[in-house]
This record gives sequence, structure tokens and C-alpha cells, in this order.
Amino acid sequence: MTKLLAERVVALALILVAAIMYTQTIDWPQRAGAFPQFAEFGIMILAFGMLLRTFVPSMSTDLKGMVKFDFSHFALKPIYVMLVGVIYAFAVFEIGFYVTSFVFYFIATYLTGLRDHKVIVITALILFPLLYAFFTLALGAFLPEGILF
Amino acid sequence: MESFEYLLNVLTFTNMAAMFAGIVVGLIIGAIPGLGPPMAIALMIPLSFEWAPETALILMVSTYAAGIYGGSFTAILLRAPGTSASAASAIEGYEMTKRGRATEAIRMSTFASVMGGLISGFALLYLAPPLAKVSLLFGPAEFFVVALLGLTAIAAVSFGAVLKGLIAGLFGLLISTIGVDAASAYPRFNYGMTGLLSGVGILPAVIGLFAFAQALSLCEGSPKSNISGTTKLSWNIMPRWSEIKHCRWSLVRGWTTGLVMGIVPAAGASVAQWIAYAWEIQRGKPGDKFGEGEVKGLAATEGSNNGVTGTSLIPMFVLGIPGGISAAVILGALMIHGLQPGDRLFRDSPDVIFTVIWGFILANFFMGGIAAVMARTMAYVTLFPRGLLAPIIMVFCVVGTFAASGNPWDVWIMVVMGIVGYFAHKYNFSPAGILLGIILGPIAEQGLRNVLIISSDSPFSFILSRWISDVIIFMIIVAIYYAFKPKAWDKAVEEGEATLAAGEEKKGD
Repeated sequence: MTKLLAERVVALALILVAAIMYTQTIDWPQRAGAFPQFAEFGIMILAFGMLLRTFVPSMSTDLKGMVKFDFSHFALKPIYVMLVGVIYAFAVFEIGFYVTSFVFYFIATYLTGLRDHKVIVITALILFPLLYAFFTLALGAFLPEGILF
Repeated sequence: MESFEYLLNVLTFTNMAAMFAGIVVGLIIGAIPGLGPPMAIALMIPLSFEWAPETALILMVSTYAAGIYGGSFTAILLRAPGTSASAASAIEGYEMTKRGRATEAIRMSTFASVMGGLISGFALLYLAPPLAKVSLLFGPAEFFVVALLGLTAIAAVSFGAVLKGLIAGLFGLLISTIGVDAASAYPRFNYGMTGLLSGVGILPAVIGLFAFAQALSLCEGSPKSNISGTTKLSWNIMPRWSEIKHCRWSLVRGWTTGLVMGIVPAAGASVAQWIAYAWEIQRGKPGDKFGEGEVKGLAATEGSNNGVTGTSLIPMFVLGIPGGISAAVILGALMIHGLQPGDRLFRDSPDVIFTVIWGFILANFFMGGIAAVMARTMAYVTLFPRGLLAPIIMVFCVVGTFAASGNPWDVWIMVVMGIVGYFAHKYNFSPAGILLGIILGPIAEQGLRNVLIISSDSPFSFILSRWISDVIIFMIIVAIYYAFKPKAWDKAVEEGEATLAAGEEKKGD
């Protein structure tokens, strides 16, 4: 896919999403929809500007070339960590903050590709007691507890 | 001047101990994303119940000043701002760290913040009553146009992708409307989820868009490499005259913006830093590299976010109107110790209030040395491998977000904003623009609503009839003009690239 085509697709997608959101705000009472509509109109106008720009060669010199899709493991690492991060954010409240964070730390470190086990373990042994001492003991912050600690 | 005698009141063992305690606690808690000055100040209140009022208040204001600066540590070193007031510093500061210039960034940020705080403190000392009268002149029309001025900063900080930056800003405005509408109590964009009724808070947005997104970015590339690409850091934390001279006008612009924005209730540091940053970009010269670690950008943002601290206390002390959450907490502490804000505070308790103000000034002075050493020690995290740093930052994001509000929805919102921020940054949609939209949305909407009510649906004539609004509108027009005008520094980069390309073509021939 060329960068020019990708820019057009993104612009059209933005216009579509803003239009759909606009239709949701039409019936809101007492001008509750006024400000969202202002933002939605603005997005549609600017996205239209983005689309128009792609038809003017002098204004789209930065859109030459092809979009590079890289599905290698190296390129997808942030996506793996992102997915595990989402699971972590939910699991924290079911299982408990300290246990979940401890497990997440090792999984996420592994997914990034780091294999220096000594550094990983030593850091965990220092970090988690410090977290407990600072947040739970010193600040008295209530951190999530679930079926475990 | 007679207020000088109160300076000696600060120099007692108990007051100085309170000051140093406030500085250290403020710096540490301010550095952790999610915690921030309001929490740090609130933690200090119970400790100070039995203390003399001036000692307790010196503790609070020292914590406040240090907390604002503490947020800059993680902003500069890890692109994970500890407070929303430090988000702009993350842009240039982190780019400097990536280029092995972390210590230079710390030097400049410490100097800018300390001097900003000192100037702001003297403004508080000598200009409190007249500046308080100015803050009273700000009504709904002024709040609305100030919010628009903040929004124009989005165009400036988009670094060439102006359209995308503005779209990001408007997207942020849209996000700010999620939740219950203040005027009609109608739920907006919550899609039946009760957790979204309270909307998207600024704190989860800042932590998500910057810290969590940054942690995801750290997962790219080699896990063993570190952020700065160097293996050791310099210990030279004293500001250099050459650096100060290079950034002198940036510092002046930052301090001025902070001083002025501090007296506008509700705008505060969160807005001031972006206006200062946008102003700095517009004034850029050939050779400046905004977006790639330009120290002038950092000087302006750091100068403004501490330049706000003193003047933001003016509406609180003189009028009883807190300028932000931190000022509101300090107001609570003031009243707990039996003091009432207002003119009478200066008339009936000058020994307390002037001692506190001098305490604030001295706290900024001593904060410099302590902060520079702490920041330099914290800079060692930039030597950690990326693969290790990313999960640690994510854990701190979760704990910081939850510790601040105790609401699981804030954690989930933070994660979503982190994912949005990661992809936005990747595809040039300015996470800073999104954040600005979220911060300014409520101010703009509330101001617009009030203007519509007061003006009986003739908002333009009402806004234009007020001279402060006219001045701010003029500033908006100038800002928009400069946002779209090719920058001197941008043009120089383009000319340099064109020359390079022409040279390569010739070689090919």
C-alpha cells in the first residue's frame, strides 16, 4: 500500500468515525451535544483537509513510497507486551497487585527479549519489597487485593 | 521593606526542618507518575496538626514547589511525567536523554525551575494584592479564550504535522466530553458503562499517553540497549553560564508565561507549560532542533511550570479561590490552622503569611541543590536495559494511577490511553495534542456555556466587549499565524536536506 493511499484511508476513516459520533449526539438534551459536535465537525473538516492534501503533489512530498508492514517477532514485541499489559490491568483486581505484578514483570521482561536472568531476578528482589515498603507501609496506600495478595 | 524582618522567622530549626522535609517528600512523591503534589501535600497535613501555623504551611508550600519540579525528573529521564505539569518537558527533555545529554537536561531544568520559583515567590511577596485584583477580572469569556489560546499551542507542538496535531487536539476535546455533562447531567459517550460516568481524568490520561505509551515504545529495538546509548553519566550538575546565556530569552519567556498563567484560576501549570513551549517554538531560530532535544524548549517549559507556583497561590491567599488542586489542599491546611484567606490574612496575621511566603522562596532556593543531586542519582535508570525498564514503568503506571484515585476504571482508562498514545506517537498524531484537548476541554466547554448564558446567545459580541478577551484573541491570531508560517528553524532544516539531496544527485551523475 502506498503512503498516499494509506493517508487517504485514514482520513476517510476519521471522517466516518466523526460522522457516526455526530449522529449519536443529535438528540441529546439541553445542548449536551454542542461541544462534542464542535469537536466532531472540526475533526471532519481537518480530516477532509488531510484528504485534499493527498491530491496536491506539492503538499504531499512526505507521502512518497510504500508503507512497510513488518510482522516479524522483533517488530511485534510491543504488541505482545501491550496484550499482556491489558490482561495485567484486569488481573490485578482479581488476583491482587503484588502477585500479579510479580508475574507480569517476568512475562513482560521475557517478551521484550531480555535474557539476562541474574539482572532480572536481582531487580525483582529489590523492586517488589521497595514497592511494598513505600506504598503499603510508608504511604499507607490501599493497593488492589483479590484472591491473593 | 518591612516584610524582610519575617525572613528571619524562617531561619529557625523547626521551620528549616519542615522546609527540608517538604522538599525531599515533594521531590520523591512528585517524581512518581500518578502521585504528585496534591497527594504529597495531603499526606503532610495530619503530621502538622500540632505544629505552629507558619511551620505547617512552610511544610505544605515546600512540598508543593518541590512536587512540581519532582515530576520533571521522570519526564526528562523516562518520558513518564510525574505530574501533568511536566508533560511538555517530557518532549524535549527525553530527546536530550536519548542523545546522552541527560545531565545537561537536569542542569537546565533545575536552574529554570529554581529561578522560576524564586521569581514567582517574589511576585507573591510584593504583588499579591494587585495581582489578585487582576485574577478577579477573569470571567467566563476570559476562561473560554484562554482555553482557545491553549488549544492553539497544539498546532505549534505538532512539528510540521499540523493537521494531524489539530485532529489529535480535537480528539482530546471529544474524550474530555465522556462522562456526565455538568449542565444537563446527561451521560455522554459512556455506552452503558458506569465506570465511564466520571469521565477520563487528566491523571490517567497523562500517565497513559506518556508513561505507559513510552514503556511500549521501549519494547521496540534491542532489549539490552539503554535509553541514553551511553555507559556513564557526568556528575557535572552545576549550571553553566554558556548554557544559561544560550537559553536566556527562552527562560524569560517561560518565567513570564508561568507568572501570568499562575493568576488565572484553573489554568495553572498544566496550560502554562504548553503556551510557553508553543511560544518558544514560534520564536525558534535556524539551528534550533525542536522535537530532537532542543534545550531552549526544555528551559521554557521548566521555567513556566515552576514560575506558576508562587502566583497560583495569590488567588488562594488573597481571595480564598484556589487556583488548582494543590492550592485547594493548601487552603484546607490554612483553615485547619485557624487562618482565613483574604485581605485580613495579610492585615491580621502578617507574621504568619509573610513568614510562609519567605519559606516558599527559600524552599525554591534550597530545592535546587537537593533536586540536582537527586535527579542525577535517578539518572542512573537511563543506564538500565530497555527490556527491564519497560515492565517496571508499566507497574509504576498501574500503582500510581490506582494509588491516586482508588478506582479500577482509572487504571483501565490509563491502559487504553497508553495504547492510543503509542499508536498516535507512531503515526504522528501528537499525544501532547490529545492531552491538551483533554485538559482544556472542560475549561473551554464550561466557559462557552457560561458565555452563552450570560450573553443570551450572543457570545461573540460579549467576548469582544471585554478588553482582556480582546488581548487574548489577538494572541490567538498571532499564534495561529506563526503555527502555519514556516519556521526559521524548520526552513533551515529543509534547506539543509535539499542541499544534501542535491549533492547526492550530483554524485550519482
